[in-house]
Amino acid sequence: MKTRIQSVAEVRDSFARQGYVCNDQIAMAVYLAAQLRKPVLVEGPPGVGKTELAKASAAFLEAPLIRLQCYEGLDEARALYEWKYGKQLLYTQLLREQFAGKLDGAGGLEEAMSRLGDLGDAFYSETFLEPRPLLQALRADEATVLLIDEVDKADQEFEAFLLELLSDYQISIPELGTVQAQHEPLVFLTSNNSRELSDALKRRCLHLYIPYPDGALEQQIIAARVPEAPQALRQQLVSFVQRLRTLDLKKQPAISESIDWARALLLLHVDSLDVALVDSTLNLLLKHEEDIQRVRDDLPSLFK
Amino acid sequence: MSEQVIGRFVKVLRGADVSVSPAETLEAVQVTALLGYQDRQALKHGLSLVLAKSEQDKLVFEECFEDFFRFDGMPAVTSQSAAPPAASLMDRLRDMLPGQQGAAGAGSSSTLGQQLLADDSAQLSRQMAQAARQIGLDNIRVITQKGLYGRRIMQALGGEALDREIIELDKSERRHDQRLAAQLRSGRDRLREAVREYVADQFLLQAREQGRQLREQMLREANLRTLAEFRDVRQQVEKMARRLARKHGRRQRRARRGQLDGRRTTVMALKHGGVPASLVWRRRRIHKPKLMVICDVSSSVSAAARFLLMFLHAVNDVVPSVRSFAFASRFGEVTSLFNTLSSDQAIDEVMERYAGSGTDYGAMLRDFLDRCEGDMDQRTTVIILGDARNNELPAEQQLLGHISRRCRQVFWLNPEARGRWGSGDSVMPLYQPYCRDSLSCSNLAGLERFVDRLLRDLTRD
Repeated sequence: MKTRIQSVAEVRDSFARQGYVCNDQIAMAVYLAAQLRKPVLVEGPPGVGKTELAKASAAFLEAPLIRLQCYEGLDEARALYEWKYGKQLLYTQLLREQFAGKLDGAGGLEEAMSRLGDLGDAFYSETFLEPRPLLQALRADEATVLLIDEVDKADQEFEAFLLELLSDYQISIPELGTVQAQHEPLVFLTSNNSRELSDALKRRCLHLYIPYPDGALEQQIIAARVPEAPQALRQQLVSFVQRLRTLDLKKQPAISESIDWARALLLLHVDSLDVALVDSTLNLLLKHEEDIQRVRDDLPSLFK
Repeated sequence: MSEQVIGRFVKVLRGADVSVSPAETLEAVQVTALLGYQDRQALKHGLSLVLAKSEQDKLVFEECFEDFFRFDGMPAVTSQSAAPPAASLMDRLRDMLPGQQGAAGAGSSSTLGQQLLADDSAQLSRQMAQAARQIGLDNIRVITQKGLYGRRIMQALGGEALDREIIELDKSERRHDQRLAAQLRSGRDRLREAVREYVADQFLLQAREQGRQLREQMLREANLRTLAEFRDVRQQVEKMARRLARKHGRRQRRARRGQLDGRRTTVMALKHGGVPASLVWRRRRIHKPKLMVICDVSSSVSAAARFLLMFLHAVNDVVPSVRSFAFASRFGEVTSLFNTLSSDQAIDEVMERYAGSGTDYGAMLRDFLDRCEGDMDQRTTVIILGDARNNELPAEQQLLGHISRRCRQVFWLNPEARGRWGSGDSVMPLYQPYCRDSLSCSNLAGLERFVDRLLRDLTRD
């Protein structure tokens, strides 16, 4: 991993080269996170490029990206490590004779116990340990970028469990002891705000809020992602999307959706928008039938 | 230096209801050390990352940042280093007033006077900030102290010497002195005005926090009956309820898959001759508590009922199933009102429909049993809020006994102080034996304590 970052501008320029156009605030977050060795909690509406930010950072820092997708019911067994129970039990069965042999001639209960004890913790050793993303990130040979995606979807217990990782880059496994990170990973957590995250978690992170971009920035983003789209079309498209976001919709069109739309328009060889065209491609932007209906009704007035 | 500036800024943020921990303050200091004060925009972005941790907090932060770091760029950093020696000031003064150079007493003799004549506002404002720190303007608490602190700042700036000089000059016969006196006087007035504004700004920044704390404290302690008149009491209740919901909410959800259930895995494995072909995981059962709340809404206790209902419906993330009943002269279920209306409107509606006088607790218990006996089970908690003043009617405490056997537990909340229970027509002592607990709650703090305890009890595994 790249260890020295000169300035905020360096981050921003590198991101721009990768096609991730961002404002100073976002670049500042990456810069400070790398300088202070702090995790970043990224919040914002869906589709503004939260996950993309982690990917861009990984590319910028030349570090591998390890991703953990959160969901309800996610527990440490799937996030951190798991004992291969099946294998353990199977081995016990297969080695039954071995045990019997080992215990042959034992003078009594005491001696049998101590002989068993000599086997050591064979069954709780690396052989039976299945590392999951978090443990992988801690034990990696080089520093990594760890993305914990949609942490708000996970249960609160899991959040509490993350705290040790986030503040000290270490994790305690009851059977093995504490695993300290070989190289501290750069951690990104993303949240869609489906529930309030705990203060303890927030306290340990830098907090970045990414809102929908303003018109100018969104044009830049589309220019970077869909460079083939002509300037005039971009302008029209962005101002229409921006206007849509002012409406009271069930789901507002995100950046990813405007990019998709721009790509689709390009495929259709469109140079400029008109009402009929918007009408027929509206389902690329809006994902709910009622939203589409609603916009369709006042399309002429929106399309000025 | 940086620590002090950030420390004061954090105080301002806390005043605006952004919670900032000491650890975050330290990070903010690190950030300022890293970024410096030169680029204001960068500093704002950097500090916002470590200090404001939600969307609303970001907005508040922005406002506070603009307020706090507005004063002449970065006043606090430069104020001590940047006091130029008086000689150079005199030189500049002479440059500015070449015609008067030769005459005796051309400039002012007091330092403050010289600065006023030089009209070096940046320098003056820096000194003002410094003087404010010297006299401890941070300690300003109430609005009536503004004059006092303003005078102290004038003093620290050297206002007394200036006053004396103006008086001296006034006595003089010479026209030149007269003119100088007039200049100094208008300069002094402008400065006073500036100091006054500065103090007012600082007061708003500093005192906001104390004011809020004081108010919150008062709202929590005030008697419920007087509380209904305050405007933002609903916000306060919601805030308290949110805190409780957050505290207890986490116990509700359980991981679906946790540890291996060794015992059941072994049992399952017996089918396959001891080979564990399928693994069984431990599961946790999720309790679904049910809550039934009966509120006396007669005039004597309606205020308490209002806030209890507000509370319980605000924590419905934790306790999803709350059925509420109201009674005064008659009895009825009001749950549906809360499902369709906002809690404020619902409560108003309840009061309108059910408020009255002449409560009959015995009849209420009978009505309740008739209606809900079948719905009660061992997961049901019944809460009764009322003063148990039964207007000399039969108490029928055996009915409450019956209820308490049917459900898991009964709590009784009484807005009257414990000492008055049983006095006059109160039949509280007759009901008490059937309640798991009976509490007196006359203010929000008491209600919060009760709901806290209730939620802990309900969400326990």
